[in-house]
Amino acid sequence: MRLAYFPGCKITFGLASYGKAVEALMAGLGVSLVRLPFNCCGNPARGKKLAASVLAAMKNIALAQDKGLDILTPCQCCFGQLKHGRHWYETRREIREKVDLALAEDGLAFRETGLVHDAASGRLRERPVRVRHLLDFLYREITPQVLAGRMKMPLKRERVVLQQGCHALRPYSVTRFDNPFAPRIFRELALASGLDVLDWSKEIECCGDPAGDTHKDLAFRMRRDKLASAAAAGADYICTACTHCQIQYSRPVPGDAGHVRAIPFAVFLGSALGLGTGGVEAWKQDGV
Amino acid sequence: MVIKTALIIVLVLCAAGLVFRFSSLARLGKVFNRDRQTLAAAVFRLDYAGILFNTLLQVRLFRAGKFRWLAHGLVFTGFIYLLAVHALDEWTQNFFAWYQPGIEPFRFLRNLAGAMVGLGCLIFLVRRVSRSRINLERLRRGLRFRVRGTVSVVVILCLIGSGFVAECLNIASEYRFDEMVEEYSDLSGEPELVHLQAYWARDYHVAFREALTAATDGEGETQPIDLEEGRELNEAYCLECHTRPDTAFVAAPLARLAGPLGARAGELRPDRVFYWLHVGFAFVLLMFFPFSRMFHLVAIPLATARRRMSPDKIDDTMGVLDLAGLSACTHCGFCSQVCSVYPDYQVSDNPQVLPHVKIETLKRLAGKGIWDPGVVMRLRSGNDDCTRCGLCADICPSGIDLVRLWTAADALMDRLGCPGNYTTAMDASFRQWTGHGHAGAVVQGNIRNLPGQIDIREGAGAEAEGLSGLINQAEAFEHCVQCTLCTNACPVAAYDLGQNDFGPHQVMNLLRLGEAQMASGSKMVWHCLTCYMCQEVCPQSIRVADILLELRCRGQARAAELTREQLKGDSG
Repeated sequence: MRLAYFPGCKITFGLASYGKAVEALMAGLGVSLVRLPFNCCGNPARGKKLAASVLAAMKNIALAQDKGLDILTPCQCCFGQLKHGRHWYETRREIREKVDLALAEDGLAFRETGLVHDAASGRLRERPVRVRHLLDFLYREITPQVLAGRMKMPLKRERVVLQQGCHALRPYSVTRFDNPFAPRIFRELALASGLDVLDWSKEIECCGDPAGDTHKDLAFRMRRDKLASAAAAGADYICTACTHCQIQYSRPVPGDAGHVRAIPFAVFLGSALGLGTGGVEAWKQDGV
Repeated sequence: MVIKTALIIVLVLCAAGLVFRFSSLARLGKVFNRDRQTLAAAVFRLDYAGILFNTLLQVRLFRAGKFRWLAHGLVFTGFIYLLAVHALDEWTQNFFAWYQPGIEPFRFLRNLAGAMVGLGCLIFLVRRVSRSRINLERLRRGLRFRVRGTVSVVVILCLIGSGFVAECLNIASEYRFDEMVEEYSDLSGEPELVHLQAYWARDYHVAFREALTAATDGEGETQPIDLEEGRELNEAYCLECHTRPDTAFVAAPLARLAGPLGARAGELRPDRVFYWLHVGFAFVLLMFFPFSRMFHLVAIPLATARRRMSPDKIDDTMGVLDLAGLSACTHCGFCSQVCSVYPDYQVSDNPQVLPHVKIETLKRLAGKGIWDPGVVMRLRSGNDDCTRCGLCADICPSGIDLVRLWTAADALMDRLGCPGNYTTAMDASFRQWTGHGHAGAVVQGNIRNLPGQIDIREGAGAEAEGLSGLINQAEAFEHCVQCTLCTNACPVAAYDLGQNDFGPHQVMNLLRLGEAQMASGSKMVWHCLTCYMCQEVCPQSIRVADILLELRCRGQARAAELTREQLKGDSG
């Protein structure tokens, strides 16, 4: 299986350890990740210049299309934005014209379909390039059953709550990821990995990271409250599947927020499969 | 003597320039030292391997671009050799007792080194004119300082070129030959001199004006040219310092070509003219060293000497500008080729998105303050687009800690009074933002601005979104029934209760009142976390979150307008 790997901006500089865990996990599952000269997904430009954010997304998609590969990203914000960019491209004529011109500048062009390497069959098929999130890929291509059968070093039943993350779930009309109010992909994967998944009232609520650079106080309060409520729910860890959620929970919090730490799902799964994904123990100690 | 005096003057000027450069860096540094400890930590964490590998072997450049590394290596090694063995031969010949500029291997090595430097510089020039990923036309519009980067290269090319020309004219010059004969031999007349001349004309490419056919001896008898005797005389007087010049693979063929021309201009001593030109170019290069691109020879080792800041430490160094890093940039443009937000530049046409442009502006800003509000605001905007992905710093051949610079740039602009759009939007009063007297007056005065009729002037802020934008289409929000489901689902409303102004449903209502401008300044719009909960729960299928984001896009333009007014007010 081959996919174009889209780590996103935050992994390359701020959260390299998450990127390494994802790469090790994929290598262990026999998926080869191809590095393309991708740029930013466009998410940060959403509130500044919509056309720029759409161009950024479409350039990545056109690049992957050129190579005939689907895109795999471990970041939900990148995932959501790549989907959203394409949505705006298809529904806004003015933006599409602008984007097409800019793509042509780099010798690229967007096509509805093209010959794409199909992850499941390994053959080339004429179809649109698909954007996959790590969870969605694990759930639909690898499947929780197969994963459960490959567990080598079953985890001790860590008590976790899941931070579902927003941009993959919502808006469903654009992302088509999972049920936006009662998601089950992440839960099934976590259960298959041997985690003790607890119910948490704030599971599908935003982590607060987007305010981290501007309204720091808001981000801080959300982080504190969510960590405390996860502790109250009986969890030891918040399991994340998005770079931004992980970064948000890794920022400083006061001592009274409880003992809960965030660990990416890729790290849990990698450990359960006996792969060198950094090890849960290391993450328990230093966070990032 | 003249050269020595000139050299001393030039060296003094160069040293003064260096002192000026470093003292101005230190002065700038003082402005930004937020606290000494952070600075000390930043300065003294040295990276010894980095200094060694990056300065001498340029490993980072090798990783970034093999071809450019090769070109750079040609210039670097060639130049170092020429500097040590050729320019400073008076001192360095003590290390090789047999040194003479006219014998092997020095003549060959000098030509080789010169050719290397020349070839490398030519590659630089060609590459500067043609860039791969970055569209040249766009850059031409944005970058006037491009020219400056080529000046040093051109001066070096002139230096090398004049050197080769001087050497070839020197080889061919009859006058030079006569001078040497007078100084180093006791030959004063024919026929011996003619034999030697003939030998030198054949083997040493000296161009004599008169054809050497026969020699006349003391008694007036002519005898044929005896090259064998010429060879013996050559061995006796010349060979110690002059081997055959054919190994000078650049100068010797040139001498054969240019010799006759030089001979015709003989009285003017073109060999001397070019010698002095050669020295002159060397002095120019030396004199302007501290102020030209050549300064990177000093700055890069300084910049690579510091360890890069890790992501978690970077916020602690907010106020500290890495000044060695600022000077180490050679505008190679690798950073802009890998820049993650290059698409932002394509859409906004703001060159200040690109790292290698930002660093130049930042340097000016650090030195002069806000000298041009327009440029500084573009820098602020471009730096705001940056996602801090660190790809620029990863590829930077000079090893500049760029992410740290971008963080420091924001702090610097905050200090100098050029806030980002977010800050402006949060600080602006309602009256400033809308440009109206009070809330009531707005609603009264703008009642004609019904949704769907919002004019182009107001829509100007959202030009990229065009009139197809959701906020410009009444049907995108007019069905709102004010049920408040969105506000109840909104984490900003929940966590920021005391500080937030409107809930999402109230923002929708402002739109229905035709008050897009007012809505675009609301805290709700700027603090929206884009979790899309409001949009997902809306029973009327209104794209609430997308509308909030579009309003923020429009608000950016208004905020920039306010900042511009503010800055103009400050300077005027």
